[in-house]
Amino acid sequence: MKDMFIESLKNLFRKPATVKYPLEPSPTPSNYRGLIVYKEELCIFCTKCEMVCPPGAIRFTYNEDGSKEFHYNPYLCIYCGECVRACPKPGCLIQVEETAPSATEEELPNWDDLERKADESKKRWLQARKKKKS
Amino acid sequence: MKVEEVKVSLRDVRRAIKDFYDPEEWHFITVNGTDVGGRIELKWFFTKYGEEEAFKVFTAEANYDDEIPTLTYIIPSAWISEWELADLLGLNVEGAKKGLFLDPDSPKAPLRRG
Amino acid sequence: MGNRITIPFGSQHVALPEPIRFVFQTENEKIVDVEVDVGYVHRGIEKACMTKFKYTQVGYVVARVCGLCAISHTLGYVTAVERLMNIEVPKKALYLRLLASELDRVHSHLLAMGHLAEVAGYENLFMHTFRDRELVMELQELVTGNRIQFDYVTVGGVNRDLTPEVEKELREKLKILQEKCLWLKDVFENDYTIKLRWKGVGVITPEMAIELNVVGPPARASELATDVRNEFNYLPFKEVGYKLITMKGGDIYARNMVRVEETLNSLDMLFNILDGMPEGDIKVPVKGLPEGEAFVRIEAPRGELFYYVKGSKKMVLDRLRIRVPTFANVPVMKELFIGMDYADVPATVISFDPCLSCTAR
Ligand code: SF4
Ligand code: SF4
Repeated sequence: MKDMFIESLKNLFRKPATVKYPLEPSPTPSNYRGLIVYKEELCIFCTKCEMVCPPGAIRFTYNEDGSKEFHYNPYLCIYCGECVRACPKPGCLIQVEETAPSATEEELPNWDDLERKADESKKRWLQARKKKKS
Repeated sequence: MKVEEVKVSLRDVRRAIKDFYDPEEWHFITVNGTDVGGRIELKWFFTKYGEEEAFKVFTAEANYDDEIPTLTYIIPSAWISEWELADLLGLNVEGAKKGLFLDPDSPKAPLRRG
Repeated sequence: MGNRITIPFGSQHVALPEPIRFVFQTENEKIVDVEVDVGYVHRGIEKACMTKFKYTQVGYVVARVCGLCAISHTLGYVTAVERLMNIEVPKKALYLRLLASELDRVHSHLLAMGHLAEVAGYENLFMHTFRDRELVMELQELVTGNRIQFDYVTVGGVNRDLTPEVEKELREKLKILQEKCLWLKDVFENDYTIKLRWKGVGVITPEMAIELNVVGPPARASELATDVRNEFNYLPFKEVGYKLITMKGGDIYARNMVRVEETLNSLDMLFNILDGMPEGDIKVPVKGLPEGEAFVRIEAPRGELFYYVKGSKKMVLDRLRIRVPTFANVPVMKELFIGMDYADVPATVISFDPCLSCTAR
């Protein structure tokens, strides 16, 4: 008990153990698992990343002409890095040490809509492909 | 891994476990139910204290509306696993109350197939 | 017969960070009957794992069962799947898993010790414990890239390698942490207030522990020598100096001391892991689909965690069953309350280190 008392007295004169966050910056530590960055030039549109992503934070929509478009939801992503490991083109997807911007800063993507669009356009795309084959 | 699996009929489960269970030696882990399409496969898991990877498993099959015998006379702590069975698989377990996990307005027996 | 009073405890309670609800019937101060409700945060994770997610993704889903023992859940699941598919995991991956799992145990035990001090009214010690816990959180972030949701283990190995810089920093910080933990041990062991509050309260006798199948630190505090690290061969614990710790007494004080000793043992193990780290790959490619059934037991910080996995050569599993340690300890808690003073309830509940998001899944 004496020990604790002395330690507590000492603590009164120590630096605080916490970071005064809004006043001081709280830097992201090294090795942090952060956002996924996508480079369209390198992508071969194999959709492997879409298939492995556990929460479905990567979705592709299919355009009329058969091309695909990449969509990423940083607020759904769990930053597991599965997509980076699954991607056959090195450098196309990379994980950076940055956090997502806080959700109030910009409009949130309307992900429900996008998911619906991705599902529908994929169905259309598959049907078109079937027709072409037969 | 040493696993001894014993198949019993649902009626004999309690007697089989009573004959074998020695609380000083065996640790009751849980009872698990798996829907195998129209029927439920029940497994009671036991493991031996202080020994590496020694298991004993009792297996029985039950229909959806069979009454499952309770083991709480033999293993007092089994009630919570049994209540879970009653809740999540919608089984009729002797002496089990519903509502451990589910609320009155949640889906019934969510772990059943189909 | 005196007047019976009904006291609801939880699901929101100042002393309890978890949504569990007890309804106590008391006669004056003595509890005569109790009811529990543990299902407040049932999320249907088992169901989701059996319908929505592929077996390679389930590891990330079960990690979200609980934040404090995230690594144990993933570890339990991947061990089961690896056994089903006969995957030989490289030695180095096993050591890295061991590293993450012991770091996790240290942080979880420090949290439990801190909370216990808090409900004893010892804010000061609570603050100290949590300040030191911050060190191990930083180490976890360094190794896995995140403070609690590690996502470190996958089927076939681990996701990240240990770089030499990280290893160096680990060693330095672990030294500091070890000193702090030794100091904490001294306080927890000898402090007069703590002894007065915890000794002889909430006693689980050895007979009770055996009868009610208690698991984890509460069991070991009642002389029941059960530790899955000793009984199930999922990681090479015996190579790195694992010790089975049991205590006499079975009261809150003993349960806390088991945690203190285990924390120190884990820290020793961490040094040995770093010293004995083998060379080699951290991952093997996974082919095929799971077929058959497997069950594993894992020692999570709170006790025995049981996983049952059944697959039939499909991407989606047939059955996944999780039996978590707190779930197994609820019967003994209920038994313990009868005849106890109401004022001792918060400390007793917290001494089990309950994790309700695990229990309800
Ligand atoms: S990091 Fe994980 S969650 Fe995020 S997009 Fe990639 S696979 Fe999906
Ligand atoms: S895995 Fe890589 S190459 Fe394939 S679609 Fe995704 S980003 Fe493009």
